[in-house]
Amino acid sequence: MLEILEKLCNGEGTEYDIYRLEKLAINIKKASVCGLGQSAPNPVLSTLRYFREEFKEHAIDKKCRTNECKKIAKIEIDPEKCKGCSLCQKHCPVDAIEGEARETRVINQEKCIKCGTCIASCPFHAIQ
Amino acid sequence: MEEFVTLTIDDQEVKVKKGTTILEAAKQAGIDIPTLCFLKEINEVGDCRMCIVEVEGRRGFATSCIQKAEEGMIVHTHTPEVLEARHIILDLILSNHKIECLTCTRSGNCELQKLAQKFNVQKIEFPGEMSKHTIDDKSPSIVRDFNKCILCRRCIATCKNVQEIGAIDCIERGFESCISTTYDNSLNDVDCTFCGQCIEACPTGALHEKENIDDVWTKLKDPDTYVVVQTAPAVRVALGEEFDMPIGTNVKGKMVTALKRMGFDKVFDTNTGADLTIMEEANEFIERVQGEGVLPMITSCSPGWVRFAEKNYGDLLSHLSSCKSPHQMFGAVIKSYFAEKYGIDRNKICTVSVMPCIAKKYECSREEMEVDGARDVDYVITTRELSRMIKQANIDFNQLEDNEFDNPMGEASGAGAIFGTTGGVMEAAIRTAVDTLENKKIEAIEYQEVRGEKGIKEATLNVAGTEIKIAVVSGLANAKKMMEQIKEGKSPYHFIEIMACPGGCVMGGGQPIKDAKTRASVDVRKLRADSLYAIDEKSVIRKSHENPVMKQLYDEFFEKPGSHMAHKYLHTKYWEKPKYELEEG
Repeated sequence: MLEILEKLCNGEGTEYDIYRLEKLAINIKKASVCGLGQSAPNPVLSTLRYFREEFKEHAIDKKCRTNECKKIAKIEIDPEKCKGCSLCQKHCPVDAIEGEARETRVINQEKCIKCGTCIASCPFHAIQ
Repeated sequence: MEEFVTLTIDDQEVKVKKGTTILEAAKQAGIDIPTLCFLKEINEVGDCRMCIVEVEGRRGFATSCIQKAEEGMIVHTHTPEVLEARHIILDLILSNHKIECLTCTRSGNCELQKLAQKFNVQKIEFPGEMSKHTIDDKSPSIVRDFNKCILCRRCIATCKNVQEIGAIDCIERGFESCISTTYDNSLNDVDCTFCGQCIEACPTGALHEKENIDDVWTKLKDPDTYVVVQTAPAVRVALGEEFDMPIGTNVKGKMVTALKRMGFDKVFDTNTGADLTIMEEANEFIERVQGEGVLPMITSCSPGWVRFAEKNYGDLLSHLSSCKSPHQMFGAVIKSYFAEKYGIDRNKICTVSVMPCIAKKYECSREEMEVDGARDVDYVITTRELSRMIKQANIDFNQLEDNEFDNPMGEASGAGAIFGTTGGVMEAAIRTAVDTLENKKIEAIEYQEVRGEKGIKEATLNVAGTEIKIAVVSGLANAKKMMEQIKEGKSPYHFIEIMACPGGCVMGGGQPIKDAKTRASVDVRKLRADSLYAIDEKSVIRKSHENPVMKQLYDEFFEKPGSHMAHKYLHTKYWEKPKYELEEG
């Protein structure tokens, strides 16, 4: 189960993997003797029940809404909202944000480690 | 009065004794629930979960091999839910199994492979990380490849409960779980006795014998080597099973023909060696009874038992008969008497033994098993290996005509034949000892008390005015009981036969492997043993000392049993061995 989940988180999964994951979880729950086996698949099953759309996004669009899956997460600055204050640039631990003074800033995706520091630092909520 | 319960399985009403499992009940109704870890009366733990069924009103699936049938139970064995779960369980087992069926010795006789076919598995559904184990092939007998292990624990149950050795058990937890030995050492260095019962229990190719097939082919190809083969009594009643014949079919004639076609220069019968063992052993017994020898005397034909005794009862080794086992004796005879008589350079002779046993591989590699630098036996191959060699040699075994063993040492008595089953050595020895002690020919020679499946059998004989108490023991758990009794000084016996394998050589670790289903429904031991007793019954000579070959051997070479020459070639010594030979650090 973990391996299939990791595959999905890394953006390497398919819709078939979601089907596989669910089938596996249901059957582990049913066929296990011990309480651990009967309950270990619960987190997977409940997230599948309530957040199936997000699973599908991971598999089809290779996107992670919360940017928690670092491999497929993509943080971008909305040029409409950015005022060029440079706060994000100062906070970025890997100097991944580029741009001159008072200009709209851009994130260099190759350098970015998806830590989310810039998102928290932006006073205009321009980064997502 | 016995209580019965009635239950419904797949819409069929079945009435079974109270306490019967659902699996057994289903069998009575003609329903074959798949199993994998289940081994009747040995491993009933519900571990693999292949046998799950749906029981109405019960949460989750029931494990039919351990779940007892209850009154009014309604069981379904093949609902879509059960089928899906079973399929996934099988998929998960396969996902961590080194799948190399084409090159696996168990291909065609693998219970996992059969299940995969039964459930139409067409791909590995959950490929992923696999556990990696190094192959343990240090011992001369057993190879362990735990990349093929499915953790069914049948080997553990056999080792711990049947043999009471407990050399192997499960270590680590979860994904790291693996069957291993004390401090994860090689089987060679721990208390394993090489009885090979674990191989017989293994459903996959994780455990198998160390093959010597290529070595034997190489020797057969070499024109300068004179290759002599001998076959143990238990081989002839089991070899046919590898060629789809009924269990216990006596294929002696076909086997001899096959061996000759394969290119062996001489094909001899270990039964003759067994007769020789009896001559020596009966003589040793008489000497011990009449003199002040150590009693009880215990047989030493079973190398698994000898290794067990050396590792566990080092202080009681004087009880063991000093006789070598029949094939070792016979090997020594081939390289001495036979070589001299026929003018063959003994260094050019290669002796091969076909044995039902994997401990014999270890035995023939023991340092002391040689005379004047010539190894008694060069290679031991198992019944299974012989069947593979016959197949490799393109021999249509089932169509072969019958042939007789080669002379001059092809004659064997019925007493030699029954060596292959528990009680046989004792019966054979008694036939000779009684005749010698009473100094006449006794007609009643079938000792029913020492026959049969019981682990410990005992009898009291009145021979020439003396009462002789004998015991026949098979299986190391029973051997342990006997030894403890001797240790306490309470053993009432004069003579004890001990075989490491439950049932004796016919059920040895080198015999054709029977799947769990066959073992649960057929008494394999009885079929094979009965076949040996039938050989004995049909024999003209039924006592070892009446075998003309024996007379010839003693007249021309050994003088008399227990002579200096006999001791040089036919007897051996035992050493106390440490239980564990662990490396420092």
